[in-house]
Amino acid sequence: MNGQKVLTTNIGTSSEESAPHLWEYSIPELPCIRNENYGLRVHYQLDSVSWQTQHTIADRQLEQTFSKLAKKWKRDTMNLSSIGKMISHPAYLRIIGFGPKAIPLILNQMEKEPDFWFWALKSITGEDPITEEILGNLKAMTKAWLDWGREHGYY
Amino acid sequence: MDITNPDEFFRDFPRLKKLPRPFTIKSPVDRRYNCIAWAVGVNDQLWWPYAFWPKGCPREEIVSAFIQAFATLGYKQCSNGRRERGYEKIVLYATGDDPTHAVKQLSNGRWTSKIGKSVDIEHKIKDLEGPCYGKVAMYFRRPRQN
Repeated sequence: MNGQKVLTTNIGTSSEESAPHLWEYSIPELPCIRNENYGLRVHYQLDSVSWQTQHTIADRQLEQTFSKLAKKWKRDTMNLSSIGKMISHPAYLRIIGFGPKAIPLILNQMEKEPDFWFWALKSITGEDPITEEILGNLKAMTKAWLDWGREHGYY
Repeated sequence: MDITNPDEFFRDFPRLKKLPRPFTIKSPVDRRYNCIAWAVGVNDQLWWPYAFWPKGCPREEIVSAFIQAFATLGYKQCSNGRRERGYEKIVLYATGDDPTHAVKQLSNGRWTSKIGKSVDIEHKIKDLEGPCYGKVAMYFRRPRQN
């Protein structure tokens, strides 16, 4: 077989002993997630961290950064009445700068605590499920975006 | 009831920091309505040019758009915030041409405000002047509605 021996293991474990049954052969240039039914598994090759692991770390960092920025935005804009000022806050603009990766994070946040995320979602997606009839109705506006998120597989 | 983040609150409204407190909190935090809605008697809707806004009024964050919005409800500009028999009054705060806040006069002569996404408070007319809302810019009145 034109490949080399690699260790496939669950994230969080890396020793051969902890998952000896996961030894296998694989083509080194093509690391892949295996057996998704049993959770995310990662190929380790020569002690290097695989693309999947890096990807997971990046996602986690994005979540943490999003969480910090969202908290700061909420705190700093709590007393503002001007929606224009709320949505031009630097933390809000940074979240928009995350692009489509921010969509599920925003939708989750919206479900927990409805807030003025509509303009961020509109900026990122270029879409707007909010109709004239529900403008100003926080609950209905939130529901419209959550429904949109479900329809588009973000949520 | 209490202020969620007192540091930010008193940073935004330094005139409210003195003791004894010159304001009273009158509601829990509620994001469903904002200051403009509250000033015109609505407590389940967000009124702003980018949210609910009276038909025909410009959807722009400029003072003239707010004058038009208030006019749809019968409010006309007046010269002061003194209590007048038979009238109800609201005040628009602004920073230059940027509207920032609105407050409503109570029948006892004090003023009531919905603070952003936060609580309702009762206060004196100019006590919210400062870095957050700027200054009182205009007074409006209309015949008292029952």
